Amino acid sequence: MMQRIFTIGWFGFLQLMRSRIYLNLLVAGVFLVGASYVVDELSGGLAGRVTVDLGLALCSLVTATLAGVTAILGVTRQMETKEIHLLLARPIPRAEFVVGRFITSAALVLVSNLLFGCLLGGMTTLMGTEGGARVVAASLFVSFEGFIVIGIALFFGVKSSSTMSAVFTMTLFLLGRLTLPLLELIEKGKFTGAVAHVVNGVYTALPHFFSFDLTDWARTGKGLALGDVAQAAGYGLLYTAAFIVLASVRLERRDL
Amino acid sequence: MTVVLSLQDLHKTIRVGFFAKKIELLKGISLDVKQGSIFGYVGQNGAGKSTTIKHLIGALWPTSGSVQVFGGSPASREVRARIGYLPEFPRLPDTLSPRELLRLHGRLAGLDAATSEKRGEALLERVQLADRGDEWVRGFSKGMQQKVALCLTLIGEPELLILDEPMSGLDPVGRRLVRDIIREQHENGRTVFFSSHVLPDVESLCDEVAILSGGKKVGQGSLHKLLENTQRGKEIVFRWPHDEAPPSTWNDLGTLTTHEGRTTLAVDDDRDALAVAQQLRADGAEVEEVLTVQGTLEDHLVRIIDAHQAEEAAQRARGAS
Repeated sequence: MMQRIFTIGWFGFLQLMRSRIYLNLLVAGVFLVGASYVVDELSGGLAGRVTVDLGLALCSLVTATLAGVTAILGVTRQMETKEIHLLLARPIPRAEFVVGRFITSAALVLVSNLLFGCLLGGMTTLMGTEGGARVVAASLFVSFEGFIVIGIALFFGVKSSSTMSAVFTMTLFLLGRLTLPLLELIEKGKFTGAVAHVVNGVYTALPHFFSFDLTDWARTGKGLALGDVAQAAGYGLLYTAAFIVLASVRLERRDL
Repeated sequence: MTVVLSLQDLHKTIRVGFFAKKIELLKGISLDVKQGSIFGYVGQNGAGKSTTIKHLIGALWPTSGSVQVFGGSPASREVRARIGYLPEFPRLPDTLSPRELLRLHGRLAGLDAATSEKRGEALLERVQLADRGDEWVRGFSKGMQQKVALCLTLIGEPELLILDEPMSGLDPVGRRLVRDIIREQHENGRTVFFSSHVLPDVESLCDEVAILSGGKKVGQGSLHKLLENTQRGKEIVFRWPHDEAPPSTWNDLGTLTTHEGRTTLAVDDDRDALAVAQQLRADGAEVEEVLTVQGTLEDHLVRIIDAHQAEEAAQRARGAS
């Protein structure tokens, strides 16, 4: 089973890595992340602070875009063009196809984040700021955000069009970015009674993307507990796995 | 003989549009395909051929009725391991090469790397694409992609080949190649189920044919029997060795044509050709032969589909009144 999944994942990786869409996104990402250096210079230069903050924020945005696009290209687009028929006529369960495609997109996200991290880390080092390795690590940790987006895109993508799954995924991504302010409102006791229960439920259901933000640590080297990192990573993987299971179940019974 | 593929009262209804309008794509298809045969599945565009085929590979779920391949559901892995499927318009990942695709499909078919490589090379040689095996499929013509897709279908050496329009997009040389490959597969004991619009291909390959129209099976039988039903009538070929014209009464017997000194009388359907031939002899003609004019599968297909459509139109008219 694992061999089949990795075969699907590996050949999907080769296929998408060579695609124009992925390469264009990667180049755009490199320019965006690189632009943080210019903004840092324009803002008077705060010892590389703007480069790290803006660079990691842009890295997160590009990761989400890459994750969503590659997942949609790998599954939804293949269903729309009927490319999937040749593959699924093989003796493979549809769930293995979904997991294989997850591996494809996850590998692309990791490669991209490594590239962005090295670029950002290199820039901060060139600017004379310490912590280049931390920036690379923080950039790689953003990949968990990408994994969740892939899971969500696969979930929507197995039963709707490319456009609609992109819209749904982006909506959930944006809502997920708002969970930190929502948590602050909950902690301040802004909601009471039934509304508080509903808001708590919404907060729990939405992806907590702020868990994967290591910007402060990357900049200062302080305020990071290994336990928190492990918990965040575990949360990211579990959240992703839940969506992959749901995507597999949805794909299993649908007509192709 | 063992039945490898069996459809029983297969119905498929889909819902489309904002108001989820029901469309019945298949209306109770039943058929059996025997092991080792080449089974042709023919019909107009939109008749339901590809829809039926997608049920055979587990891509579509029946609304009602049953689909059995090798005695099991095509959704099962064990069954699909014995099937090779070629879609109507095979869409291949355009940034992979034929060799990479063969490696992918070989491994998914359960082959080890060495066997997959060996079979892949042999197949690329067979379809004359070995020298372009490392190029991305993106630069390939439709026909070349069709050949690559056929290689992918065959790499697992499946017992049952399900080919949806295998000749589409191919030039005459490519069509002959695919026909030859289908024959080779048949000679190796494989069962072939294929749909095609190219009726001469069906005639030259198939043992048995099913005809589909409007989601219904409107005819099935061995090709020999179907063609028997397509007799266009009889023709009497004769010489008229006299100077004066043939008797004008012959025009009532059929249609006279003359070509290179031979005259042919196409006998009207309601007349006995042998009796007419005797009459011609009695009138002084030198009758050479009495021929049965055989129709083609196309004649039969057109006739049977026209009859089906007329019947459906009549039913609709009765329903409206």
